[in-house]
Amino acid sequence: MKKLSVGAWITCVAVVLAIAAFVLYSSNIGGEGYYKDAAVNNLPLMVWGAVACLVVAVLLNAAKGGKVIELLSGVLRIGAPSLLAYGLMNLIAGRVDGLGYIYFSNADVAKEVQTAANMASAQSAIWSMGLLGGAMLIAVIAAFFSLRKKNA
Amino acid sequence: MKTKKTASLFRGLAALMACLFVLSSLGAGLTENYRNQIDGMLGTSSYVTINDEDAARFKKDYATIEDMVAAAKDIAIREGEEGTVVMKNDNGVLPLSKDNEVVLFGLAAYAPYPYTSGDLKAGNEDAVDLVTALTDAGLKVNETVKDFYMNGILNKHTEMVPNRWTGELQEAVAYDNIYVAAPGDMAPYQVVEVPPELFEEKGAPADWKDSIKADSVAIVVFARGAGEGNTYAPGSALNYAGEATGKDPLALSDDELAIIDVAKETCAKVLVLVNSGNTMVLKDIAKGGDHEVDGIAYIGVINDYQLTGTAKVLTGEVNSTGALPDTYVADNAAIPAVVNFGGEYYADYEIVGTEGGDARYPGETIGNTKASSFGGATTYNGGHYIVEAEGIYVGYKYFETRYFDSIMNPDYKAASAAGATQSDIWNYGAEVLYPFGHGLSYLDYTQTVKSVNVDLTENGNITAVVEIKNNSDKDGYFLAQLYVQQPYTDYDRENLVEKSAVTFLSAGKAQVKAGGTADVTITVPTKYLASYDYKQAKTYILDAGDYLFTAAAGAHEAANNFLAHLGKTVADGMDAEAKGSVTAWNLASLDNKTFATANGNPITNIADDADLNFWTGDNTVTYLSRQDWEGTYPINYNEVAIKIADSPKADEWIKELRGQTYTIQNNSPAAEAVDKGLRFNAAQIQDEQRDDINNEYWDDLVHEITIDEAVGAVIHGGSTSDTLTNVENPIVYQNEGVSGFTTGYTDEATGKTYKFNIHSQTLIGSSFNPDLAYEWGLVEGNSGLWLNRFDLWGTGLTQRRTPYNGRNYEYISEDPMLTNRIGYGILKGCAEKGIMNGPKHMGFNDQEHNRGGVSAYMTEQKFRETDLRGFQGGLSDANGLAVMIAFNRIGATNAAHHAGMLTTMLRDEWGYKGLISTDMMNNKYYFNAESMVMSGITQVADFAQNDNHINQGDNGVDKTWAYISVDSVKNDSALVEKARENLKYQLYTFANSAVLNVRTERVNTWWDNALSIAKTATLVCACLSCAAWLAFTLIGKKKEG
Repeated sequence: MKKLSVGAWITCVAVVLAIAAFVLYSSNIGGEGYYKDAAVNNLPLMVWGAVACLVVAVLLNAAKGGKVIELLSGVLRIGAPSLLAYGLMNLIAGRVDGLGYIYFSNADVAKEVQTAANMASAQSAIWSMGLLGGAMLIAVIAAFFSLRKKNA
Repeated sequence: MKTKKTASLFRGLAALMACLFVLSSLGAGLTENYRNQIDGMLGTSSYVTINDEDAARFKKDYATIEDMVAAAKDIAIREGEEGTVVMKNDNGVLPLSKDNEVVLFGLAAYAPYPYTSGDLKAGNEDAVDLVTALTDAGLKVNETVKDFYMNGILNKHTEMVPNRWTGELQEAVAYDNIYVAAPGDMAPYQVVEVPPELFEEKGAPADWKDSIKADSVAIVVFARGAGEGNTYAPGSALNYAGEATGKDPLALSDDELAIIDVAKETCAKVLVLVNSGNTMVLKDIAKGGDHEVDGIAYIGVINDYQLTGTAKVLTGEVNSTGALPDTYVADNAAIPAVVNFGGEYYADYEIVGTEGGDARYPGETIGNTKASSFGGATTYNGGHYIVEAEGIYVGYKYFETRYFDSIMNPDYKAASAAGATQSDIWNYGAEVLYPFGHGLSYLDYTQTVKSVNVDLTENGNITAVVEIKNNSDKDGYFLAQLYVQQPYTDYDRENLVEKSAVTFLSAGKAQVKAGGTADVTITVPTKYLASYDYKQAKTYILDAGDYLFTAAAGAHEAANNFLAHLGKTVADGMDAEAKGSVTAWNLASLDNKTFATANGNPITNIADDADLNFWTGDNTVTYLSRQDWEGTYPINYNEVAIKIADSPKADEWIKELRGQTYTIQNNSPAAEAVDKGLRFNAAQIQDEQRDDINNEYWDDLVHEITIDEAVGAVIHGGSTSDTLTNVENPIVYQNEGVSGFTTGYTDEATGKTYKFNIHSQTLIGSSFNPDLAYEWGLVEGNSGLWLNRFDLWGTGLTQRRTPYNGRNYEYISEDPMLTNRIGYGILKGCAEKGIMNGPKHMGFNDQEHNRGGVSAYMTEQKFRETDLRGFQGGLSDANGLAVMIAFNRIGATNAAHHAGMLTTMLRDEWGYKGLISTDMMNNKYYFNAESMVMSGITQVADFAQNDNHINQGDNGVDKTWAYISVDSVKNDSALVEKARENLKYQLYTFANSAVLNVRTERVNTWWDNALSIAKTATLVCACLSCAAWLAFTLIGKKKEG
């Protein structure tokens, strides 16, 4: 582990956050509450695509290689945050109506809709969006760092 | 190392910029969906509204109010010119010579019906009466007779009379002697006509006859009144003295005939003008009558300016081109529909009533007796019924078909005693005085079908070219009428598909030079050629065989043309030789597919239960079938003891008669409103929303309406459509009436007020001119734009089933297709100006007597091919925007509860998207709230305002139907969703009308610009960063190498 660079560590954080976001999203649509069964188109593809890009980029840099490897790794690290951004926007688009309904309805409706399950579902959705946004941000930051540790 | 660091920097920048590009690109798309909310939060505006008139979607055609008024007057005068019908013209009485004085007799000559202004008549200051019209046309009116009539007999003055609705006393025009303007509800009708023997007593000089020159022409005008809630009672006439005479109120009274006699005595020639919307019985003055006159002309129910046009016809300034929209008979008893008219009780009608047994009204005793036309009783009003056993054979379709069969098909027993009133054996010539479509042209002409093209597709048209040949030496204007005969086959006889031997399709008019010819192209949808087979195919069919087309001056002439084409002559019994040729179009085999669908929806039976036999379970009713005129001629089914309790469906029948067409469910929670911030305004309603009711905007919008308001807005919808809380739609006021907007326009510059309700329904009907109807529709629409009124009950399209309906003056004709084509023109014109013109009273308002509950039983063929066909042209073909539903029941079902008619037919089959209103909701036991919602009604006419809720009664329940509340409907999702869907149609219609008569343009806000810049800048930066990263990566590698 000591061989990993700062860039690789940051990338790993991004991967973890993305996976956490997806797990939360999955539990959100699988559990009780407002977003039950409310899957978001392409979200798994985007998140897992980004995760794959980041992991492959790290692995490629662990291997010795020439400029092709470095270029390929770089492309993956540039592309991964974009996939996360795409997924994030899709998630927001799929959740904003419901969040408005739950949090901003008039009093009569709010009384009906603000059940414990719906509130938990909404909070879970917000958390998954936050984690996905965080993953995107960290992945961007990671792209500024080299994945190879400096030679002593 | 520096190169590597730089490469990492650019890689990071490339990732950042790519990421920002994705966010800004998708973010821009997302903001599009929430533009209004973002505008609200940021205080920006994405739309600008352009209010100037040039940008309006619906523009006035007239620059000044003077131009608008002139256009309205022009139409009204042309209605007189084109609608006045010369029925009889012997001894050269017409055109009137300006060399001869005219002498006006009859009360209506000096006060034509209607003599008061109101819904029916505008009463503008410059209205033209008959004396003025004739004088303006260059005729000299005998002053002596005029003087004693006006000052002695009529003596016009004002009186204070109570307002019909409010009871408030108000000044009204009155006369010492005047015809009865409102016949009442099947009450005895006094024919008030002062007989000549009382002239001197009423102020005439003893020598008044001496004032009349020997060559004078008498013009005698007879009127019959009419009105809402009014129905003539056959045989109920009283004379001037108030004595019952046993005569029909629509027949000429002895007092009127005495006027004729004195006119004949004093003048060289006599012309009678028929001033009525109800066909009168003119046997006494027609050819061969005991009081035969030289001429008869129909002038309908006039308005402010029509008489100017009538005078032009009478003086020959224009050719006579009007035609009769109804058949005139020698005795109204000869009309099969009259056999079943008025209605009586079922033998055990009381069993429908309850003493506390209706769960909706616990503890209440509710009767089942009839109510007045204006409600007011605690009753289901389901006790009275009529059986419309005549089927499709209304008006000329009966008389001409029977005539045709009497010659062509002797086996059908047309020449039997059944229905004969003039002799032992039925004889057309004795029964019919003036046929449908009859009208004498001053100028000789012929009309010939040159070609017919039938496009046999669901939305295809019949296109006929009729050549008019002007055989006279004067240029003139002429009428062409197109008729068809469909084959009547073994299949029809077996399955009781009835066919009229003569069917009017449409008409057109043209100017033709002396001795010249002109072509009139008449187009009518092919679907109207089809017949409804309710027994076998259970859809529309076209039989195999020859479809015969002819152009003729009336239905009878058409019948003779068909007979001649089929090889018959006068020797076979025809009463005249054919005057025109016939063009045949052949269909090789029966077609039960082409018109079995409409707008993607299958067409099949929806009114089986309109047939009384459905309820009785046996063949209680025999409907008239031409294959056996004698054996199927209607009997009066009110004289047959019909017992509800004997029905195998008694419980179901009682439920329907109690108005329980739909019962509120309690097993499916309705979704409450979701306020997405959508609102009804020009910014959010763009072309894409206006063009497509399936645009998700409309569903989202109506799902912002709470359960309380969704149901409440439908069942408390009129006569003002209120603003819905989360929709913020503008208030829409409904306006009367069938003659045009009754609201006056006050010109601020001059202070003058002008009224545009100057149209005549009767004369537009007798004009036989759909183009004129369209022109009136445009003028009516323009007047709405001037008045800023957009919702109007501005025409009547109910079929005139019998002569006795008090609303006939509001309707067009006995013929569904003439009504259909006139309705098409009026509603098309109004819709093009954004005016929601709702025709009255869809669904068999065949009589005003007990209109608020009477059951009209019929077959589904009649249901589809008679009254409703009259509405189809305007509502379906012309994309009309509104309709008012009839009061009565169709079968046992309140017309306003009839989901088959309103949803399956009107919405699905006809593709109608406009608003649907009830008539006056005056009986909560008859009008059932939930049933009206489920049928598709968009607004119940209850006349209150700000009452869009079902919680305004005591304890938070509905103020009218106490069993309705949010709690009682919230678990019926079907009901709530149907209410929202109904409101969707209504709001969609408002959006497509002049209610939303502004244009809006989308503009970019600062945040639109920021997002746009961000997208471009991040894309450019991402590309540059990528390029730099690539460059530095490759340079670094090279160095390392």
